[in-house]
Formats: sequence, structure tokens, C-alpha cells
Amino acid sequence: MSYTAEAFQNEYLALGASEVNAIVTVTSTGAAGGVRTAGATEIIIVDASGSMQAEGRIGAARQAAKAAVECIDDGVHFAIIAGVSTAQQLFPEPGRLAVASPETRAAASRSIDRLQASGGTAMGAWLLLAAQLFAQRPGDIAHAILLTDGDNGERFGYLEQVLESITGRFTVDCRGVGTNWKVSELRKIATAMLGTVDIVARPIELTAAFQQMMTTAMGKTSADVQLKIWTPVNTTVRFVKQVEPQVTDLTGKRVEDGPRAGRYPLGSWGQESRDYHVCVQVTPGAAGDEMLAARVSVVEGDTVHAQALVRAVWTDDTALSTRINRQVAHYTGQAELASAIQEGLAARESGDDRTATLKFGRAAQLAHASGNTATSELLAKVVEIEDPVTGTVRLRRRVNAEDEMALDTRSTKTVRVGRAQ
Amino acid sequence: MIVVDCASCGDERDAGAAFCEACGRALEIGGSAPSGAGEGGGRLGAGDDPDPSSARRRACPHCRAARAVGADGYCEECGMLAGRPRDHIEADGGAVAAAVSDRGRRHHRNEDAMWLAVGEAAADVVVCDGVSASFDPDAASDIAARTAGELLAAAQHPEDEVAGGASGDGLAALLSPGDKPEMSGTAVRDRSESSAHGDGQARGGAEGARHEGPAGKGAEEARHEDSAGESAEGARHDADEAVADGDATPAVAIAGVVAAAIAGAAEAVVSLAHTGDPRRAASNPACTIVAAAVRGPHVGFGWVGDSRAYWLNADGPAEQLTEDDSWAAHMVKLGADPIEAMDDPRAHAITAWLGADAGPIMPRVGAFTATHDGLLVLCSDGLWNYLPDPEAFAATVRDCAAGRSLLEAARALVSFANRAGGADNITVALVPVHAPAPPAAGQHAGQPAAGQHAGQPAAGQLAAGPPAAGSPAAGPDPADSPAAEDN
Repeated sequence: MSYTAEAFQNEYLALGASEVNAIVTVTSTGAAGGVRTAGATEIIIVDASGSMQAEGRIGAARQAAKAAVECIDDGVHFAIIAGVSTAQQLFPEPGRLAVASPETRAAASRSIDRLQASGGTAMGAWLLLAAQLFAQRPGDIAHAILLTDGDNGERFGYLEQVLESITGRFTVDCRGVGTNWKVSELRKIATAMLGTVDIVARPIELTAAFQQMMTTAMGKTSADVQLKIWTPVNTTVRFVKQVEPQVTDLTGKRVEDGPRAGRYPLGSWGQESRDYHVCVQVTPGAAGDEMLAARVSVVEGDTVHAQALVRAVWTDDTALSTRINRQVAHYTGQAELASAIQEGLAARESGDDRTATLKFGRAAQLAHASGNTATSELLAKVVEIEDPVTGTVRLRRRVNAEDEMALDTRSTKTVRVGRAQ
Repeated sequence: MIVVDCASCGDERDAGAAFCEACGRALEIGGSAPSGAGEGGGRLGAGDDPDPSSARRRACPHCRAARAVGADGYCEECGMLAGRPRDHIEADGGAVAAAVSDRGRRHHRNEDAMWLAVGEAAADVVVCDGVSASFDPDAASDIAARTAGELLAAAQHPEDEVAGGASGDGLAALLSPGDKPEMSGTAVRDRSESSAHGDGQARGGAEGARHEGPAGKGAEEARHEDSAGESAEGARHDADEAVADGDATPAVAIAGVVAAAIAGAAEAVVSLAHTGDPRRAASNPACTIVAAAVRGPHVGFGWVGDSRAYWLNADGPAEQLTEDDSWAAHMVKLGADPIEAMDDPRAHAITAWLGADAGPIMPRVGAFTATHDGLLVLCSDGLWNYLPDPEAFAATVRDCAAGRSLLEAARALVSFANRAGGADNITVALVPVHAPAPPAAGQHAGQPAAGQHAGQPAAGQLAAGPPAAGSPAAGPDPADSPAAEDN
């Protein structure tokens, strides 16, 4: 699989400036013919707690799980976990992984039909079982789907503890059905496990959501791609964020790798392109000094696939140092958009309408300015946007819970900016 | 003959050599690097590290860490750029010409570029200065210098013409394709085969066209200056015509070639906007240019932007041959106080340049034939910014040249600019121009007469002059005097 990495930045800094920002676009062409370089393991975790009986959710979940199973390519290992107060393996026999084939897929479907909703919600335990199953196939592209409809019932702090122990081992895409689940909880899982989170408001939409997730997962051809960032002495990486297709902060996932270098996990890759915002704190240089502020490499194990250089050049020419790089400005705005929405929702929930109005106003402004129409539309269901240019909004009295949750889960979705500076 | 490029010495030297064959500087790392003409050391030694893990890696000139400079030129410890080959380049044409280009002290890279090709009593020289507000200005200056330099080779040596006759196979024919320099802007081409040795007769009518009196009147009369608002083809056509005419002043014919060379360079720079980095399209690469072709005593020159050409006599102030295409020069022309104009923040904003956004360019050209020995100096604003006064300019050049070889003199001028602050990239080219050796002392004494009977016809031809769209007033009219008088 061939990768390219390209850095977009204004490398010119004013004298005394010490912050270097760059957007690094990583693109991979995918393996020839989409052939996976590693094996793949899929685990489907379906919440089977009592609440799933409502609104025919469990029936829809069964349909969705079966549709997802149908999407699994031949030869891929898979398992299905029924999530109740403890984790129970639904298929194949406990502790085993099945190899996808027409027969095993049919057998899995029959197992899914036996899925009954009863019991509690214990996401930590579910993920832990998944981790144990994935551990049988090290080096595989490991992907899990987690479907739930409610709050986690485990003791406080247990889920975080589990996430900390399994982070980086596999990817989890989380989907919440209905409106009784907590966005923050699933986001915690998706962030830790480099996956996505979204709302499936109506059970009937579950099948399409599962098929889409599984198709994407099957398109992944590399298991564990990482961003390796080298920085010179006296330089610190302030943050590393994925900013496209959605905002994910990777800063805390750094694993030291030799002197002055660290690795940030990117999860599995197929034929796709993602953007990363790298911000580095350097020691200011003198006019005319040029520094390599960071060397950003796309690595898989010890193989370096591509490299981009983030530079810093100090100049007293303000015409150069005040240039704004479109990529950096755009994604800085997109990250601010995501946090403005989340802060607005939090303020609204706590009854602080004033702050909520301010935050939503800023969000409306940013979404409009950056052409993020999807977010604008979601925002318009929560506030009345009077003037997106100035960010004048009014809170809506009555907001559907699902609209609010959709805005929350999709707040991190970004739009891409044109390539030219 | 020789291609001298200090920072590329690593490629040129023999394996195991301890010192650079060309400049004598130590190739060994650490010790002597930071001294020397190229300010900011560390640019010497191996250019590209063949093996990043090898023990031959350079020490970092910034943090002094041993063997820390990686293959990409950055220090593995402190991240600072250890230097690029282009940071300091030199071209040594022996006694014929020399040129040095340096990054200076405040800019992170050298966006100037130069070209020097020499033959016997012949030199082609180009100095370009990238417009730093554009994207990849270093690429613009590089391609402009190279393209103009290659086109200048077409400037015929008047002596060849007399000897050989046919237009188009003068010096150019002497340059086999294999002669083409490997490195742009740094080549010194030997034209020692250029064997035609005409005597005073061959130069005929142009004698005395440049009258080196203190007032420089005669020189001004003989100099043709105008905007060559022609396309490259037009200018080339004119140049051919000038040569074919046979009776045009040789210097004017050379100026025609210079105009065509600049037009060619302009096209080359324009083409950059649509290649490479997409950001080039938004802020297209741009540069200035000043070019000169010297053939015996005949000098043709041209420019776009604020890189300058000067003429120095044995004494007196330097004569600025070019007139900046800059805001300040424009204001001075409109009657503003020169000192005030130069102090304005906009002073250095250039009003003409080579680049995709420049529109049709109007290279201005000039030509003269030396009657006294003198020194032609081409430089970027990295030097002349520190020497706005023509007296001081001349004094400094003479100071730097005294008792030194041309190359050492050019280095000394670069060092002068660096000591003065080195706020911009610095490029200096020095070409001594020799008046035709008089057969007897009588020629010298009889110069005023020559100036009258030979100079006037020359001026007359200039008026109808082919190299540029000749305005009849341009030649003889003192009112159209060159910029040198403004300074």
C-alpha cells in the first residue's frame, strides 16, 4: 500500500514566535486490488439489555446484525457478542472465532435469531471480552461494532479503566439507538478506540448503519498505521489532532519511540485520505534561521511509508509571517466549531442559556464560513439561526432529543478545504 | 573549463580529499567551517549525505552536535538547517569575470541566482533576485538566470562577425552542447577557442562611442536606453536584424540579444506558475533580472526590476547604468526628493518583475562601447542597499578590489554587505571591460576626434536602433539621460 504525506503550513514566523502549525494530509492509494496485507477480525457487540425490547429495537438489532454478518468477507474471522449484565458470546462457541464462509454466516444468522433482550448494560465487560477474542489474532485488522441503547450500568470508573487497558488494540465504531443513551459515554469509547460515534434515532435505520460500518471496515487493508513525529531538542508537540474526516485528539495517545520521537496510532487504513493538525512549540530563532520543527512520518511497524517536513523560518518580513495558511485556518475553525457545539450543548443542559446562545452563535458563524452545511443544518434544529454571518442565533424552546444528540455526535464531522493555499 | 561551487565541493572533489580543490577550504567538518567568505559556515563539506547513518555526517553549525546533520540538511538534534548548496555560490572566471552569491544574514535561503559564462574578452553575466513575497522565488530566479544565460550565448562577438561573416555562428557556435553547465547560475564557461583577433579596424565605427569624460556626456549620448516592449520573438528578430545589418553598432546588437534573453527568461519564469506546488498558481514565482553581455569593449545590458548594473572608471563615482523599476525610482522621476523617496516603506516595492502576474514585460536595455578600461558591476539590492551613494559604491568596490583577484574582490563585497547587516541575499558579479588596445598612444590622444566622427554615426544608428523599439529621441537626447544622473 502506498502512502503520501503532505504538509501545509505557513512556515514563516514572526521574530519571537514559537508556535508552528501544520496540516499534514495523509493519503493512501490502498493496496493493489484492495487486498488486505493483514488478516482481519470483526466482532459485533449487540446490546441485549431489557430496554432493547422497547420500540422493536431488539428486532431491528437482529436484522442489522444479520445484515452486518452478510457483509463480512470470506476468510475474515468474526464473532458476535450479546451484551447483557455480563458479556456473553452468541457466536461461535465461547472463546472461539469463526471464519467467514456461507455456512458460518448462515449459522451466525441463526444464532442471532435467538438473541433475547434481558438484563443490564455493561460496556466495559463487553469490550473486555472482545479484547480477549481479538488477542487470539495479533496483527489482524481488528474492528468492532458496538450497539447500545442505554447508559452503562457498571460502577463508576470501570469503563475508563477497561478502555485504558485495551486502547490501541482494536477499533470500535459505536452506534446509539433511540435517545436514552449518553453521547459522552459512547464518544469516550470511540475516542479511546479510534472509532466513530453516531446516533441511529430509529431502529429501522439500523440495518443501513451496520452495513455501512461493515463495508468501511472491510475496505481497510492495513491494520495498525501510526504517525511518527520527530521533533528537535527543546521542542514539544503541543497537540496532534485528526481534523478530517472528523476531529479526534490524538495528543494523549503518544507512545515514546526513541529519542525525541513519538508515535500516535491512526488505526486501520484503506484507500482514504485524512488530515492531521500538528502543533509544535519551538524555541524562537533569529531572523533567517530555518528549523525543522517536526518530521512527520507515516509508519507501519518499522516501515516508513511517507514523510512530510514541518518547517519554521523566522523572518522580519511581516508580509511573509502574517500570511494565513488556508488549511491551518480552516481546520482550526473546524476544531473550534466542534468544541463550540459541545460547550453550547453542555451550557444548555445546565440551564446557562446565555453561554449556550453565545457558543451556538459562534458555531453557526464557523459552520457558515467554512461551508460545513451538514453541521449548519443540524445546528438549525437546535437554534434559530437569524444571521450566520454575525452568529446571531436564538435558542429553540423545544428541541427533539434526537436532533440534539445528532448535533452532538456529528459536531466533530469536518469538511475538507481546497488544496491551494 | 571549471565549475566552481563551493557548497557542492563534496561532489567535485576527489575521494579522500581534505581540502576543496576550488577554494582551498577545509572539507573536514567542524574546525574551520564557520570562517571564510561564506558567512555562517557549515555550508561546506559534503553536500548530500549518501548514507544518513554514516560517520561522515557533518557537525551542526548551530548546536555544534557532532555528526548530527541528516540527509535532508537539518540537524538531528536541534532541527536547525545546516545549510544549502545555494547559500553561498561562487563562479570564478579568472581575470575575465567573477561572481559570488550569498544568502546574507537575515534570509533563510538564497533567493538570488546568477549566471556567469566567460570566454576570451567575453562574458555573459546574469543576476536575478527572487521576489520574496511570491511563492518559490528561488525557483524563479534560478530558471531566469539559467535561461537568460543560455540565450546570451547567442550574442555574437563583433570580431567573429567581421572575420566569419555569417550571422548566428559567432560565439554561440563555439559552445557545443556539451559545454552546457551542469549547475545553473554557477557555471564558468571557457571560450578560449574564441580565436578571432581583430584589430582596431574591426571595431571601426564604434570607437569612441563611449566617451569617458568626467561628465560622461559622450557615454550618455552613445548609450541607447529604451523599453524593449517587444515579445521575445520580436526582440530576437531585431537582434538578428542588427547583426545582419552589419553596420549597426556592435554594442547595440549585443543589447538586442540581451533584450531577447530577458524576454526568454520572462517566459521561463511565467511557465513556473503552472508547475510544481499548487500554491505557485496563487502566488506565482517572480524575480528581477539584470543581464549583460560583454564582447571585447562592447557591452550590452538590460534589466527588469531593481537589480542593478554599474560602470566604474579608475576614479570618480560609480555610474548606475540601470534605473530601478521601483516605487522610489518612479517617485524620483516624478520629482520627489530622492532621500525621502528611498526612506519610504514602499521604496523597495518594485514596479516591474518577471512572473506570471507581471503582464507583458518591458525589459529596458542599454549598450555602450568602452573607450577606457573600466569595471562592470552587476548586483542585487543586497549589496547596493548598503551603498546608495555612487561615490561610496565606487570607493567600496575599489577598496575591495585593491590587490585582489576578481573572485576575492567579489567575496570581499559580499562580506562587506554581510558586515553591514546582510539583510538580504547578496549577489555581485564583476566584469572588467577593456578598451581596445590602442595600436599607438596616438589613438588615445585622438579620442575626442574619434568621438566626433565615429561616435556620432553610432548615436545616429542607435536612434534607429534595432535592439529595442527604438524611440528616435532615446539615443542622442540628453534629456533622456540615464538613471545614473539621478544618483
